[in-house]
Amino acid sequence: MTQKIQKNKKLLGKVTEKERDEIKALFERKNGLSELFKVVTDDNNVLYERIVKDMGETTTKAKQWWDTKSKQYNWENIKGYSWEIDFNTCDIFLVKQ
Amino acid sequence: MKKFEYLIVLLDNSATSFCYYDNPSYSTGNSDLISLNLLKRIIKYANKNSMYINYLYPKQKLPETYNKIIEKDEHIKILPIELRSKNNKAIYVINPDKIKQIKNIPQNANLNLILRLPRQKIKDLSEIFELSINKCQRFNLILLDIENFKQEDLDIYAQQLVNIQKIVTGLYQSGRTVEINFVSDRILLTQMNNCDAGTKHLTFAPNGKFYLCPAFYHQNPENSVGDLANGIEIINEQLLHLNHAPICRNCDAFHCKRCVFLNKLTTNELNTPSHEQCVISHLERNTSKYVLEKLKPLVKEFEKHENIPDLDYLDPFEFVTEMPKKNLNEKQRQTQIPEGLKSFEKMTDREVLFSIYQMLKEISNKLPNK
Amino acid sequence: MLNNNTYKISKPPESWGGIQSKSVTFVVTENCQLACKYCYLVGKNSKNKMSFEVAKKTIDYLLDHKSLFPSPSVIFDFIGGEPFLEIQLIDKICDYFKISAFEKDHPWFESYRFSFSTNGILYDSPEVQKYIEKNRMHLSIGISIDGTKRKHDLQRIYPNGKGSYNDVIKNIPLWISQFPDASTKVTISRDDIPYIKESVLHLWELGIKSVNINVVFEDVWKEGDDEKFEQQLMELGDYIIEHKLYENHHCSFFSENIGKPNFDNQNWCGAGKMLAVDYQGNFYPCVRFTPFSMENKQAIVTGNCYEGINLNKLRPFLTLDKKTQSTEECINCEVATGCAWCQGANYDFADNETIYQRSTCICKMHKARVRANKYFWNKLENVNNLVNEKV
Repeated sequence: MTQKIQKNKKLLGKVTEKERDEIKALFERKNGLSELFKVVTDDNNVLYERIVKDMGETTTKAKQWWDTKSKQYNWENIKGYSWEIDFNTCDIFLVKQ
Repeated sequence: MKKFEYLIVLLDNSATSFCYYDNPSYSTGNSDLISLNLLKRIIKYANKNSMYINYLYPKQKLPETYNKIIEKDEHIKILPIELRSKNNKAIYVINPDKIKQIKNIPQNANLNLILRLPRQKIKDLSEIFELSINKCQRFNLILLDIENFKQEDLDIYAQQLVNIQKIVTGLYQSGRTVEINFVSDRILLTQMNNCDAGTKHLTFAPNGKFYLCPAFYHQNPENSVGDLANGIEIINEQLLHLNHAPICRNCDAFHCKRCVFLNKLTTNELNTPSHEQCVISHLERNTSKYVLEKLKPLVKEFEKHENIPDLDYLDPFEFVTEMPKKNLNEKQRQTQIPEGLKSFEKMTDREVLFSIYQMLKEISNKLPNK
Repeated sequence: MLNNNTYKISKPPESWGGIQSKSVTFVVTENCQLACKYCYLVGKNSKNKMSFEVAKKTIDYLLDHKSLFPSPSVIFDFIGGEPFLEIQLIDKICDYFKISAFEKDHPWFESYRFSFSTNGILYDSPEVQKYIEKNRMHLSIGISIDGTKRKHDLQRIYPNGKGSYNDVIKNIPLWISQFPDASTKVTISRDDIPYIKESVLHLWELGIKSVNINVVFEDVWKEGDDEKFEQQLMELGDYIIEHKLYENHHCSFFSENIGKPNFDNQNWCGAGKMLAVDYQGNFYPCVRFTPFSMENKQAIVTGNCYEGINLNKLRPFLTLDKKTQSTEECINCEVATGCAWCQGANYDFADNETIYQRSTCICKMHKARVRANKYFWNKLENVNNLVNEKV
């Protein structure tokens, strides 16, 4: 696939498959937790607290992953843009919000 | 017509079993003798087709007219032990209710015995074996109820085989040459030697029909594969052959019966054995390996036998499904993927290219010199 | 492989999880609003529905036996009959799975999908939409729309004979807006052959970019069908090339990998590697082996949710290979690759009770497809080489 520089999306580079798998697992876990919130009923405080805690930890881990990798690979960062990953190709993009 | 080597003839509906299947009529004595006319016809059929007859006898004595007809041609008798005589050419079956009769058999009787051992008695196997072995020229063990075996039954059998290893090793060291189906057969064999029901032999029942083996008849008389009038037709007959058995065709438990009846009962397919059947055969194979390794340095007759390799599994299903194809050696690759169909799926690109190079090299080596 | 420097070929969307996923099919109901003529579910009825207890027991069994189910991912397929008839049950099942997987700290909590094959009629109902919203990030929904109205209504009819196209088409825009990469499954029987080209193009025009299409495996094909089929594919191929639709659209009839001699010994079908559960809690190698799918044979049960899987019944499926079930003619066929089969159909049509007799009902249709593919790919390459020359 040829590199494309679009107006609102810029290809920054690639991560390894192992690194991709790390963030993918966190991404999936976050989605799972988000959808789990919709299921939990008021009478199950213990479960709710556990989900909240897990969500916090997962979000933190994800943020750490992005921080670490961006430094490691020296990715460009611009205000109003965020990093995105294509799970199929391991490409990292800078995307306008 | 396809060539069968021998024919099992059930002389009576209540004829003794000699294998894994049970015949309820044997216990109840519910007799239904094959008609004399049918007996004559099947003997004629067998002679015409060069099939050697094995007669399966009931507990009851046959009418003399039957005996006269049977004795006219060479044959083998398979009899319940209750009918034991001095006939050493017969094969005698010890059914579960007659195990106690073993002690009545004289030493050095030189019998060809089949012991049909129920699951509950596996824990006594080595004891029964020791009691029997000096009365036999050939000892055949048939474990019953394999379709209901659990892990603990396999463990008990494994332990009994450890005991038997020692007995057999001592026996052969002393110069005694008795054949034991689950020990010595594998030592002697260099390729698969199985029951071969439906390929090497068929069964003829008192109802005048043919079956793959007596088990199928007793399970359901509608399981017939033909009769005298219409001939034999075995649907999907290829599934009885080793090359159409994905688990078995790479296996080296050569002595295994590959019982198609048990296969069908446990897995729904004639060509696929159950986990328990495979483990039993491999426990026995490993027993053979132990005995051979012990005796090779000690007994001259054992020197010539091929070593039995180490295996790290008891069920070749694991080999077929889980072992990465790329770890196969060339011989395994040839048998695992027969007739030139090669799997490239799990190879890296580099390995694929190397494989192609190897194949081209092989082809090139076979070309005549320019 | 074709030279990708001059043109792009659209590929089908990647299947989530790939071969690493365990597929578990819940046959939640044997009921369906439709009576599609080619449906292999010959025993549809309104009586047999799965209870939540059975589903719960199944999920507990799956989650509590990691050694039996070591795959890192799971896909729960909800089918019927028509699964959306039981959306409330499905919702409850999914909620139970999510909570249980989380509480048990099961790896599947981080890697699961809920997948649906639906006739689409109830897609816009409030209950279904509520379910979609709730599980948005974990869903894959395929609506079966067979093509143009006249093609679709030939086969996909209500019990009174009325076509269902109008009731399905109204939900397509909503479906595509929610699942832009969605694909559809199209089935072709004898009567449908004249409408293949227009149907594929119609579906693409609707925005369904990936069309998975196959001929029925049943013994319905007659002399001359293969030639008509080949003609339709060639005409479709001409249109695709002329309008460069190959860049952004996919039709599974066209593949570069079909029509070559066999190079492996793998089984085509995943029966046995997946697990289907019916309303009684019985396990099957796939839905095609359930009682309401079998026309000629007894169902093959491989366990149940109370006692677990009978691994011995699964052994033939897990060791099934191409050669052992194929005739010599099929093994040695010069155009073998891409020739498909359904294990359940093989078993149902076999001369006796075995899964090892491969049906060859679609032989001529496959060869026709191969010829059409050769035509298509050769033409595509020629056209693009010409373009290259011009450039």
